[in-house]
Amino acid sequence: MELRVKVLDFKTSILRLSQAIRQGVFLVCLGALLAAGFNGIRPGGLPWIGQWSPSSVTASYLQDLQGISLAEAWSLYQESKALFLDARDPVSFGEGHITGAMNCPPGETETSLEEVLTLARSGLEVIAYCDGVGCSLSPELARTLQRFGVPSVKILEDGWSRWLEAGYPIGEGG
Amino acid sequence: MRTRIMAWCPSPFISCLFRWLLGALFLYAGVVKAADPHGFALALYNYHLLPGWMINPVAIILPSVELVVGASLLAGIWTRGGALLASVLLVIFALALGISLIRGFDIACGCFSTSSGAESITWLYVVRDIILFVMGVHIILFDHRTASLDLLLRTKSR
Repeated sequence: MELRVKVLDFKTSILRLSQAIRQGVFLVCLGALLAAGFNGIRPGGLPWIGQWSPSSVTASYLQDLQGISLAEAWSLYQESKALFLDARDPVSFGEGHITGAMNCPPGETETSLEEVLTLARSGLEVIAYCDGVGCSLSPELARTLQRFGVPSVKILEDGWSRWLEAGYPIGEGG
Repeated sequence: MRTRIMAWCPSPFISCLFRWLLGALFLYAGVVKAADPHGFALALYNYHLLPGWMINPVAIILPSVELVVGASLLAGIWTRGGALLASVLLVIFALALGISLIRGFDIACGCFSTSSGAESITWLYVVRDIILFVMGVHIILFDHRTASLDLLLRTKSR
């Protein structure tokens, strides 16, 4: 008797699951159809195929600022010709940053401005980075520093993630 | 065994509550992402998990799927399908968050906001998704169709 109940329960569960899968597939199709229709008629809809290479993304999000490629940044790092500025908050910086980078969140530039200016004038290329494409911290930092007289600040877009992915040297702590 | 499990989840109101909660969350997430597809595409790109050609299609389709799932759970129509889809999506979200955290990325979640300046992801986000996943599984297994359109349609057709 108990075995029959168990078999019945198992069958019911399988039936429920297969019903759920059928309904789920239908809901996905419905969602995809709605998405295609809505995206087609809305102004400023997203193209189905987009350009998502680091260089094209950098170009479209930096506007007036100058970007720098990861390869160039790495090359300058190896030649010790770059000053990396980490625009993220101190906690994120403490958890990990490009080795030798200075923590310089956009709202706290005054404390490190003198040092940055001196290093920039000594010939180092100033490179600001934060994390994620469209992260506004490094462009904000670059604009602030340029306003205060730093001649050129380049942006390493999506810098932290790409530096990490490339396996380049990182440091921890303050 | 099942009786024992049922004893833990006796109330149809619990699954109804879970259904409404998950439904409201998915609906909200879908609306936020559908309102700013460019911002959501950026958030997806920042995870560095999808190939470039997949980002726009996912950014277009996923918000609508979330809207449909949210509506299905809130209204209680094709509830099991909606709950299964929600559970699968939550596993995918938790995996994406976990992988990004392990890789040390300091990116915005893109879950309930498409702003790149939003708070960075933490392990709490993964825990949240796992809790929501458990709710989804609970709905699949124990939903009693309380206060649902499914029940209403069934009663009318009899």
